[in-house]
Amino acid sequence: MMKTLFSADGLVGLLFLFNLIVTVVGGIVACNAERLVRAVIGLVVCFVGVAGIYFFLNSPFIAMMHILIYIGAVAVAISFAIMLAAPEEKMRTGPTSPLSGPIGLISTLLLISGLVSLALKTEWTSVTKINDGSVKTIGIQLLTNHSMVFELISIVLLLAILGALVIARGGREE
Amino acid sequence: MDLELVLSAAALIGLAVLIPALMLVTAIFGPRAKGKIKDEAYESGIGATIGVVDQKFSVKFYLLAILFLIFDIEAVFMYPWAVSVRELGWFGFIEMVVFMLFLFTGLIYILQKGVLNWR
Repeated sequence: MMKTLFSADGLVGLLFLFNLIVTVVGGIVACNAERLVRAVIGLVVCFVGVAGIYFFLNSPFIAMMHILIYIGAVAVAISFAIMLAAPEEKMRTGPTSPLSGPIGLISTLLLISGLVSLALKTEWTSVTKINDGSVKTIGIQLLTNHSMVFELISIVLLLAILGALVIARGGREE
Repeated sequence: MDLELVLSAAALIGLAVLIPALMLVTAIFGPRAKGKIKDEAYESGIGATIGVVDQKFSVKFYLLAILFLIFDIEAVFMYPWAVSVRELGWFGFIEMVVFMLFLFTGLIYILQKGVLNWR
C-alpha cells in the first residue's frame, strides 16, 4: 500500500526527515564555523537531531540521556574548555594541497556508494525485542537483574569526581 | 490512524517550517541601517573587545562544568528508578541509597577540598 504524506505514518516520516536535516545541518555548521563557539552551537544542534533519531529508534531513555548529558552538560564543558584555552581564531587549518579536495570527494563518494550497496544487498531480518524499551522497563531491569552494574556506575562517577579534582588541582601546595 | 498524533505532528512540522520562513522573510524584506558604531559588539560602556584573547579564566569554571556533568549523569540514572519505584519497592530504594552514598562521598570530598568556595 502506498503511504500518503497526509497520514500519521507520512507525518512521522516527515518528522524523521526533519530530524535528519537538523543533524546534518548541525554537523556541517560544526565543521565549517569560523569561530569555535559557533562550532559548539552547531554541535548542539547536531545533538538535538541525534536525540530525535534515538527517539525514532524506540529508545526514549537514550534520547533523554542524550539531551540531558550531551546538550545540557557536555556543551557547557566544551564552552568552558574553549574559554580556558582561548585558542587563536585565525589558526584555522585549510586544505594543504590543491589535490586534497578532489581526493576527499572521491573517497567520500566511494565510501557512500559502498555503504549504500551494502545496505541494499543485506537481507535485513528484524530481531525479536527483549522488552518494550520504555524508561520503566529499563528501571526495573537496571535495579533487579543488573543491579551490580548500577552500583558500579556510581563508583565510576565517584572516580570521575576524584580524577577531575586531582587533574585540575594538581601541582598546588596547601 | 491516531488523530492526536497526526495533529501534533502537523503542528510540529508547521512550527518547524513557519519559524525559519518568518526569519528568512524578515532577513530579506526587513529594513536595516548599518553603521560603524552600530555594528560594534558592545555599543555602550565597554568598547569592542574583539581580539583580546590574553585574559585568563580560572580552572574553577571547568571544574564546575565537569562536576555538573557528573551529577547530571547521576540525575539521569534516577529517572528510571523514579518511574518504577512502586514495582521495585524497598529493595530498589536501598540500591538507590547505596548509589547516592557513593556520590555523596564524592560531594563531601569536593566540599572538603574547597572547590565550591568562590573568593
